[in-house]
Amino acid sequence: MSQSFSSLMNSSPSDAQQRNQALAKLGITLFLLVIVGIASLIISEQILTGWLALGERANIPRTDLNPIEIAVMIGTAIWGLISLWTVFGFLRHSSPPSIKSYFGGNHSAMSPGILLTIALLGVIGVISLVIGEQILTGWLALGERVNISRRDINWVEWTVIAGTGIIGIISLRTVYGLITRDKRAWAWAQWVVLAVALVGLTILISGSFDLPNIIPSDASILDNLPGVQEFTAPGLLIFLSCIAVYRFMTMEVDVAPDTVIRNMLAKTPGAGAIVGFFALLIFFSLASDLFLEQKSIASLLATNITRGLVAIGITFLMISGEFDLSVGSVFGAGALVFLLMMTEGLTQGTLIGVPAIILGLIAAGWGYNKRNNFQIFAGLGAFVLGLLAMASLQTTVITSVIPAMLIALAFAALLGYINGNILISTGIPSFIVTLGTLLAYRAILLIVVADGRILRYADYRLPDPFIYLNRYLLAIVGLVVAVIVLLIGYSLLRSAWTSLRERLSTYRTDTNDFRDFFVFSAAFRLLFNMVVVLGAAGILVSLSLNQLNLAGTESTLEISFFDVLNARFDFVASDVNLRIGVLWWLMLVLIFQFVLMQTSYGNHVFAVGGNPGAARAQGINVNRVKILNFMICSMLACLAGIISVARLANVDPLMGDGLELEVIAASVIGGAMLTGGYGSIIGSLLGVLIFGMLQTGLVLIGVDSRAFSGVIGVIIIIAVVINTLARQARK
Amino acid sequence: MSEQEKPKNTPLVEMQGIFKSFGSVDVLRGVDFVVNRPEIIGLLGDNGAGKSTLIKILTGVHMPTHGQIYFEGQPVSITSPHDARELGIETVYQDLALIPLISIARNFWLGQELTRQIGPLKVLDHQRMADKAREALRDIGINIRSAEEPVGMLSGGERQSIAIGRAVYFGKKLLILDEPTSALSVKQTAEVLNYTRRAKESGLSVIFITHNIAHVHEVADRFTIIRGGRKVGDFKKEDVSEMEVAHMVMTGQVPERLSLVPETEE
Repeated sequence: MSQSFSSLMNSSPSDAQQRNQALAKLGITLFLLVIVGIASLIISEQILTGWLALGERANIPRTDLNPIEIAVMIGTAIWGLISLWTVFGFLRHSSPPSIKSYFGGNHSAMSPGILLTIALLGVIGVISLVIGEQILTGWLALGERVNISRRDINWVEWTVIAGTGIIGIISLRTVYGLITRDKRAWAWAQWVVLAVALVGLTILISGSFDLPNIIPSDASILDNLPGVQEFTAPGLLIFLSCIAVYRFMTMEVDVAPDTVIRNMLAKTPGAGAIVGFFALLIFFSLASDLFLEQKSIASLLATNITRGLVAIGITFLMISGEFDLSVGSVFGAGALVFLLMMTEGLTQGTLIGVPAIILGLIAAGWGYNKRNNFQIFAGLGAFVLGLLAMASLQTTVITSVIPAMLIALAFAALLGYINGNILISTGIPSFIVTLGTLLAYRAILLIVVADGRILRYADYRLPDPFIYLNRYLLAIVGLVVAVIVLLIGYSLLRSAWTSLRERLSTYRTDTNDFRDFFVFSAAFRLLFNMVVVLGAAGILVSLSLNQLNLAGTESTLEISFFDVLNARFDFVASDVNLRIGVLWWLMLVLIFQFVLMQTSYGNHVFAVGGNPGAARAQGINVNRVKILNFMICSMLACLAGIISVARLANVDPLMGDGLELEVIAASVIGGAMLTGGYGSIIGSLLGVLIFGMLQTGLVLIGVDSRAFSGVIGVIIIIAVVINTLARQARK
Repeated sequence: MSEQEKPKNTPLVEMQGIFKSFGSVDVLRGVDFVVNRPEIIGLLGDNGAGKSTLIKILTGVHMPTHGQIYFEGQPVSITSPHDARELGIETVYQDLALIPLISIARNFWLGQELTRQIGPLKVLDHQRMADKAREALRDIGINIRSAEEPVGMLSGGERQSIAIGRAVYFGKKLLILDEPTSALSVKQTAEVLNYTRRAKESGLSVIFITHNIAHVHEVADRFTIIRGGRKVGDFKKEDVSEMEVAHMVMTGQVPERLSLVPETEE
């Protein structure tokens, strides 16, 4: 003791501080170990005295212990003794033997802490392999089946077999590394222990959810203590043991797995959303059996297509430093234009008048800027003529669906252009500009769809808008796209292959603790790319061949455009509402994420939002980027409107009212910063899914649906706090 | 030195009789300003003296009311920041140099990103962008930990250094540093001055704008002092002491012993 005190006195203040921190950390570790040790011994004792039964028996004072009970009894007894012995070992030493000094060759493998680590990893390894083996041989069944000697192992079981196999082998290899003082084993041990701690936590949580089943509602926990223990003790024991060892392993390192993971999350804008997504997913699936059913997942996706599509645009715009409150109105107005173009059709007057009005206004504006009176009058003249043309020429020329969609998208682009142009030319903040246009664009709907009506496609007594596609053409397009996919895939595969080869050739000289991990991940990347590329190309080719095959009997494909946009998939059960719109949504998420992260334009978007002055100084046209993003945002809102019309076939004048705030909330949850320069499209997807999960999940677990907005409010604030903390963590 | 190497003895930039008024306010009243190559020139003046207006005219933000600019001996009219960039003039503003939330590599290549062709698509080549940015910065002595780090994690001095490194790499001819050191610690200031010197060694001319002589005296070859929209004078570093320069910035009075020297030289 006196020695350690003198070393404390001699060291500099910062050293003493570090020592104190290490001791404090050790204190918590020791406390955990005491709990683990005592609990293990109690369990062992309970099995011996027959108080706790494992397996199916009722007689309590018994002498016929079965093999499992004997194994568990001995195991927990040894584990408890090692834990307590470790605590005593630490307390006896004046300077606690650390894992670092062990790798320096200062302690034997039998030192407290080291032995504990080796024992834990050994047990994890053996038990994992045994569990895997038992599933493989059919002794242990997962899922709903009874026949024991079986060959039909389901995918859950395969996953568990693979997982336990990998964990088992890594654990045993790590034990070997620890004994031979291979320093890399230190890093691997941290990962294994952390992973198993999470497994323990999961077992604990799922065990707790089963508690209501074994305790009658009128009884207290005390009435069935062995039952409670059986459901919670294994998970708790695994979790606490692993945490204790983990704390010991990371007492003196900076690159512990949790730091690595935290840094990785800090680099990802959607960090809060990723954590929140999985937390909610696990919580709701444990809390409600209905949550992970096909039906719930499909309806969660299908009802959020609108929000998801709009959120892509909002996030994109938000990253460039602006945001758009008018998306709800643009959503409605776009849907309205689409429906009107299909039903009423485009008149000659509109065809001539609208371009005249727009060009006239632009010309007048230009003239005003250049103080050219002639140009102003010419522009205004075109404007008036356009209005007259619209009023007088009423012959309908176009009613087909694809022009209707293009016109709606062009109209939305114009609305977005107006938003952006007002913002740029006046310098008013986007909040005010789009608050104004939110109301103004809503008026379009309220005026056209007058008297509180709802505009219905069915009222026009038209057939569904069919489109006719030549199957040969379709097949050729499919094959061309497949070739493009293969070309892109070839480059991806080549770069993955190069990086794997590099990793392998430098493997011997690489001193990084995680060199095996890097090789694994490079190999995995290659494999994953190969599967994705070949899979996508294969699907495209088979679809094309299918079309060629059908073309023999019927050369044109007749299909309702509504189905193309948002049909229900028919390969799932009839009550599962899975829709094609989900596919369009995911595809657009991937496309825009790609644009954002992998193209020059994406880089400009980040720059414009992060620091417009610097972007301008580097020759980026800030105004152009902003206006373009406003147009993209409006067009995506309009596309969402069109897809919604495809499903509902009507337009309500209040359609999309309030959508803007929901979507901005989802984007913010997904990690986009209101001040710009930061965010991700994948994050927006997760944000929308979190929003949707809360909506369905809260209902499923029986929370009053009126509390929903309250929960969402709290979640938004928590998400932003997490995102801010994650961003600060990397400074 | 440079005069002997270059047959044509033209300065890099020559601004003659620059006059600028905003409405009825005369901000510049006929300023001549010369930048030779390669040299570091300290442009000094108190707040409101007109030094930033002069620079904004050079970088195309403002147009002069009267006056002519020559770049490499050719008369030019710089009507926009874009024109200035085309000529090879790079400005590093104190806070406007880089985007804090994106990586060093993305910042370095901003506006001229490196891409590679994947099938029909042009995709950012992150690896090459990171490698070349790190190399380019190392060439002028800036060692960064990783080009993937966001700029926000760097200190103010490191950010300025990276902006300077970028200008050097892209073969600019004139680097304008606008109050680069006013918000930096002593150590960081020394770093930035060091890279400024490196920039000159690699052939750039540098205009170093400041109102604090202490920051620029160490590296500058020459000083131009502006006060009240007029040039007080040009002085070579050997001819004038730090105290005298500071005095001129404050009062606009040229000490008698100096008042004849520069005139005869030019």
